[in-house]
Amino acid sequence: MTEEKKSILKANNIYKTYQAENGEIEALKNVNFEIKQGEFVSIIGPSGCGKSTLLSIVAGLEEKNDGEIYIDGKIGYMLQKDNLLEWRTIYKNVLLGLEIQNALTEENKEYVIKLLKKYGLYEFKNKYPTQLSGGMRQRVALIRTLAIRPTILLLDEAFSALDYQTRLMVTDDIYKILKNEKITVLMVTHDISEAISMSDKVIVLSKRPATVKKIYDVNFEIESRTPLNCRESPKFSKYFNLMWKELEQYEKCTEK
Amino acid sequence: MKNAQKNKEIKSQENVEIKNKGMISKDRKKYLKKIKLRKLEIFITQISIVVIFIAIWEILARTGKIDSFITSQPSRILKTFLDLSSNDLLRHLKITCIETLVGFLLGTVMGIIIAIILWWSSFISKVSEPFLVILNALPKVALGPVIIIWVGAGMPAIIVMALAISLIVTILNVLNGLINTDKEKIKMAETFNANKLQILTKIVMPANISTLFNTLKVNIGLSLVGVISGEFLVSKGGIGYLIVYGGQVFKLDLVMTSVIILAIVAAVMYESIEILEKIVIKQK
Repeated sequence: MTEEKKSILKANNIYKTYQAENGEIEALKNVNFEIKQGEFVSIIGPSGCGKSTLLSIVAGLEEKNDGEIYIDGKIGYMLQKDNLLEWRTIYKNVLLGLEIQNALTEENKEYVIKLLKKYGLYEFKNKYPTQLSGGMRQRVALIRTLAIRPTILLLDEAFSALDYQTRLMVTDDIYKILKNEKITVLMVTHDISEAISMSDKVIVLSKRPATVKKIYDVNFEIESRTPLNCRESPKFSKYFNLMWKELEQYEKCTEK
Repeated sequence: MKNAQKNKEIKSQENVEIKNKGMISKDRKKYLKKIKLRKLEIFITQISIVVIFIAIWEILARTGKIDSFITSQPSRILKTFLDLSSNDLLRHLKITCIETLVGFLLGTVMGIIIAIILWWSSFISKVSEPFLVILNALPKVALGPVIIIWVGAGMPAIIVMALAISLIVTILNVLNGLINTDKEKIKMAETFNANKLQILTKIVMPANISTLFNTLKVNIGLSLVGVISGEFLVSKGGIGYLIVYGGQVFKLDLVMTSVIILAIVAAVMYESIEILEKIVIKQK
């Protein structure tokens, strides 16, 4: 047996209520979960249930009303769009995070160059974002986040702006990079199959006010697992149906 | 040195390849030719309009079909221009240009600073909104007498007039650009814990370079409007003064000449900003 892995992120009793002029909206209610080192965890739930809010709270971008977040290490955050700055070269884009955090040391620059070389972007380093394809741009955005050496990476629908074909390739690509760099990941997605294909654990949230309904362990027992070969496994459709039914229940409740 | 030469050779080879590619496709060649021809056509037509206009003007004036005392005439404008240039045209030109540039720079710098303050604090922005809207709608020329009484009749009054006309528009244009910066890009910077100053300097300002230059282009025109209307009111020198003076003593030659000089000044100023824009964007 492997030794007990240490916990990287813990969310305890998270509550979040939005105040608006025409009333208040309860977004999150008593949300609890834990992520261990090296795990890839996804959060799925009915649309508008507050998945992205939860991620923003974990990242400290939004205030919570109650509860506690424990994080062991540094957070990296990747958004739906790559948000590359079109007036900067690829190299300058990748350095943005370090620049903001006043960490532009020679050592970090070398690390960035290493990452660019490792993931096939070095020869594009003086090009501008508009000269790159959607998949490559997403990879640049990932390296920009990895440059600050996060221990845990938050992915907020990070692939949903891409077309389906590109998306399959990019998820595969990015999954390999993340495993390679041994990064712990918390991903929010509305796509069940994407969640299953990438994750070790899938957290299912209920409709608003969202709370954790179920946590599925996903295990394909494939040796060198990738999102693409997971999709071919017979277990894939089993997991899919399970989660699909779970989510369908909530959708029905909403319709009533 | 050898390396540089080699690079040149490689580059020229690339060029040859590109040219060769051009040779291969006849359609491409046709297309490029068509575009070139079209550009030439437009340019020739533009020049012809000017030449024909001047020619008709001159002919009508010479044959007495129009009264050149009221309309002036190209040959007399040219003569007035030559007279002026040997006299004190340069002095008037200098006065107007200095006033415009000072007004323009003040308006731009103050406008951008105020816009940044309003972007920074949504409270100040909300408070000042109705005042800005009213000030924007108010014809600033109406403030002329007030300005003269407050700062005295002279160059300062003219500069204040240029400032009054260009400042509010600058604030509103720049603020609008700053506020409409891509929210996602700002959030991206926030994920790296960027503070507000970093968001301003690394995301919002560079994202608005083209807004800034568009504002500059509008501004240089507005400053000129302010300066000329200021000169109409108070001055003892400048192109605006020449126009008013010419009108008062019924020297239409002088009025027309000054208007044409003014048009050239406006064009040169606009063009310099366009050139500056190209240089800045190229450097980025």
